Amino acid sequence: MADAEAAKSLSALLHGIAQSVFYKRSDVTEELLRAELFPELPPLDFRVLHDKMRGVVKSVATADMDRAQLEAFLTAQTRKQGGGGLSAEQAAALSRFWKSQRVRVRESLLAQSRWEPGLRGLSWRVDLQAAASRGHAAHSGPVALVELELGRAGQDSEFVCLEFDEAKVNEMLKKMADIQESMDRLVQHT
Amino acid sequence: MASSHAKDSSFLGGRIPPEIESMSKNLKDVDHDMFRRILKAVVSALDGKDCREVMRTIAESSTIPQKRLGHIIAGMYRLLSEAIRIPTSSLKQEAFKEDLRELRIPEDFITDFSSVVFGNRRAALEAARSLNDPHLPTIEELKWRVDVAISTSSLARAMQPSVLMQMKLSDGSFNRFEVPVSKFQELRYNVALILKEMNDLEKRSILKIQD
Repeated sequence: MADAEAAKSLSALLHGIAQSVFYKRSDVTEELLRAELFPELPPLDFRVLHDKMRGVVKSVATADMDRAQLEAFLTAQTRKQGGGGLSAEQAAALSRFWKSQRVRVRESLLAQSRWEPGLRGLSWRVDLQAAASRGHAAHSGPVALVELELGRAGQDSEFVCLEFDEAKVNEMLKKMADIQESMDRLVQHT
Repeated sequence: MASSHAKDSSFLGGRIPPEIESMSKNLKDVDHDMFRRILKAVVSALDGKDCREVMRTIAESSTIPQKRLGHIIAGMYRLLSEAIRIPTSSLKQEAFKEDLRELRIPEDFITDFSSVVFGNRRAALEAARSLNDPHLPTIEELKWRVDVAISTSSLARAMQPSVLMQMKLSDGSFNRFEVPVSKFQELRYNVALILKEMNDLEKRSILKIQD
């Protein structure tokens, strides 16, 4: 049916807008979306549609609306007189879109305010030193070799390799406990 | 004597290092006083200290030509390095002295060498030497901070906690990075696991590697 087709195109448009605005896909352009999804629509009419949808999506995303807030917002939009409002189909498409994409969009927006490299992962192994060219091996105990993977959004990872003796690992664990305690206290207050 | 034929090769191995051969040839021209001065400087070098000044003073106050002096110092340094490398359970004092006698080193000097290798400075020298082993940087200092992003330019209501860490490494470099809450849990879990592995390792007898 024409309705189902229209709904699909609308959904796809919203996803396309998300790709471009939030997920940094510069290859998803307005022209591409028009050609793929609304080829019969005159460019100017498409622009109006595209801009309206993008504006709504951005408002919803910046406010990180929960279900109740979204309902209220969309209802208000559909009640708007004149050309600026949303149709019932558009509101429905937006509702579906936000339900599935909210977490991902929020994550990408948070990432935009992270300027330090983030910890992406780590790997490690524990070695036993058996011999050394200069020193006397019997004094060593187990040694942990750790590789930290750090990186900024969209950039390649940097790897930092470190070694720890047992005392150092203990020290690190104690710091982790302190950090955890600090975070737990935060949760109590908020 | 019969005992020396039954003995294994010298603690220096099958082939005596050239600088030690050369040293033993040149030592006969060195008086005990001068020897002790050089020994002191060499031990200081093994300890990781800068002894260029001391060496310069020795060179200037000595009648021994610089080249020969260089051979002597190199030989003494190498001899002591090799001896300290071997655990005392493997190289006993008597065997060490025998090996030095085979090199025709004067008895007084052998006693002095021996007191360095088997004396109470030994542990400190071993520790200093092991600093030269190849190793990765360690964390000298770890500072951290727990932040909550209340609001950002992209998100009006963020309310997102994260941990900011700054590591100072033993090679002087700094690393600053952010750890999201989920990754922090992973980090903490892994650190605890590493400690457990290390503890387990100590309990197992594999740690008692005998030679």
